[in-house]
Amino acid sequence: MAVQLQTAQPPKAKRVNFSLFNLFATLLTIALALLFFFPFYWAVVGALKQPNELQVVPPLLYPPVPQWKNFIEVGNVLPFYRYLWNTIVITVIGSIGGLVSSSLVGYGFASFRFRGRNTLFVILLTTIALPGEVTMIPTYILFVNVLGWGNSILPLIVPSFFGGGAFSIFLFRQFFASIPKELNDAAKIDGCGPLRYYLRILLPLSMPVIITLAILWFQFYWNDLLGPLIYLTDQEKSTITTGLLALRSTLGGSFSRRGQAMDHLLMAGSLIGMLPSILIFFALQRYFIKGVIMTGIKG
Amino acid sequence: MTQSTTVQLTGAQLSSSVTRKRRLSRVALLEEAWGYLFILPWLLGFVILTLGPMVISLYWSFTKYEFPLPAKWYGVQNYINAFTQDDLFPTALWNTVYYVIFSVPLGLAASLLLALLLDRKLPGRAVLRTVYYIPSIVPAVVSAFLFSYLFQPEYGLVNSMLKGWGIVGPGWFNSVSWVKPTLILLALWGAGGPTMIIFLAGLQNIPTDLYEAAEVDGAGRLQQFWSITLPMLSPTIFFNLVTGIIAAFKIFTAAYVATGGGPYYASYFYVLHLFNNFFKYLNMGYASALAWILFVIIMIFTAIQLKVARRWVYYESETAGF
Repeated sequence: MAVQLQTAQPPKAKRVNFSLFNLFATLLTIALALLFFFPFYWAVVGALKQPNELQVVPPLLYPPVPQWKNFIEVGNVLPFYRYLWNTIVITVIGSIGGLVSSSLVGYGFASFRFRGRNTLFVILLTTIALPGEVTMIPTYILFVNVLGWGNSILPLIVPSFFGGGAFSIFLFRQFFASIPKELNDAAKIDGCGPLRYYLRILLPLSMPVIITLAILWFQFYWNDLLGPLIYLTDQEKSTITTGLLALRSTLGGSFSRRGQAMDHLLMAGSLIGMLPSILIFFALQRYFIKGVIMTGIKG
Repeated sequence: MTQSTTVQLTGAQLSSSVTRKRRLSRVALLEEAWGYLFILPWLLGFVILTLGPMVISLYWSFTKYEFPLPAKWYGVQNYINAFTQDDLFPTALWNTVYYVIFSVPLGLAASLLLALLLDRKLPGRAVLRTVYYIPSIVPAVVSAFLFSYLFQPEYGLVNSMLKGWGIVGPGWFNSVSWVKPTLILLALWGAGGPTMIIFLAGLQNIPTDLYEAAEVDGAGRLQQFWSITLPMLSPTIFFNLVTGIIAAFKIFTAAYVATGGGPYYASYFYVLHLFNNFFKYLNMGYASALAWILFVIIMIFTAIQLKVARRWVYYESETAGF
């Protein structure tokens, strides 16, 4: 786990020799990049086509007249932009809850001595390995049948306020533990209490960790299908992921049927759904890469 | 602690040391209180949202609990039913094992290939890395949509191109024999994501002088790859393998969206089966048993890998990291 943060650096100067092998490797690198990029291009083309251009064989490789109105049209079929807003609300509240609570808990584990601390920390670490499927069913009954939180965003956001995931806590703890103790001592002598120390000194120092974890939290909430699927029964409350499924069933059930040329709207919806992820990726690319190296977390 | 043992303690000194001890312990108590206060959110969450549900789901797995009817003790019948009565259980398990066996090694190989390609002097390296990475940040629902569109059998782009070359393309997501390979292809689209980045970091940690020495000794590229790159990278490969297998066992979203488990249950994976028993049939007892079986399977696989790892994972410092 203690991998060094080195990917951001330029590559080491390896043996530079022009050869047929290098040429081949470079061409392969570029060809694969085009291949990886192609589904995005195709989604954009699809989203901008007219219905009658969708099932032409061979397919048109570009939209003759880009139909930007498809992005409005998709909002007329279903309140798709409302789903976008719902997703933003859940993502923002849930991520903030996760960051606040896991940083507090991480601070507790890093800076205070109390009985049972090490045992509790080991327990916390083992919960990382527990598959969510094991706790899913009782948790569902608790939220929906005991607490009556069905059809609300509470079951999605409340858990993040309670410890915010073992992994975030672990990362915060590791980071806080690496801060020299003298800083805490000096702050104490100046009459700075634990809460003020956390707010004024620890949090500003941990911006890189906060941003890294914020990205992971964002991805968790933004991509989540299972949570909204089981808790948000009212279609009105859908998120982007369940909204896309609703869009597909409203438009005829599936891709792949001849005659139901609705793929342009499905592609428009898909683009809306992934655009925020991609924008955030470009804005914070460095932290994405750093986060992966630090955590080994897979998206 | 700093007192010298030769010094006799007077009564006054003793009492002062006692009060000091008490004061210290008050500070320690205060510290303890703060500590518990800060970890309280997690402690509550752990008891209410992890430990409690774990115990309850274990209990339910031994009951017949068809919601909303009350749970009735059922012994190990759910577990027996899974292996003897439920025809879909072996189907789901087999599909999942198939998916794990193919998607994980292929995914690792693809990620490693991309990392090797990027770990060279290359103009526009950062741009290429970005292009490789982006598919992995796309929500799984969206990537399933993009692939459904690309691989649509009749007018989709892929089959249209194949047709242009005189090949009749398969039914992809709609074909019993092709649906799992197509889902694996979808997983491979994300090969340039976190796994590749971890490989890239591993590659950059290999000391260059090893290659220089090998070159002096006249080792070719392939030999260098087998004798230096792979052994030096084995801890990284191991990490990606373990996490990759766990993730692959839990495949859900891509299949739920792209195929719904079909056609003819050909892509009906384990978690889909669990989900259906839980959310569709409200068979909470059986679904709980399925969850615990999955947990045990994952633990066994991970334990086997940890055991086998000693034979092929090379740790330079001989202090197994990770």
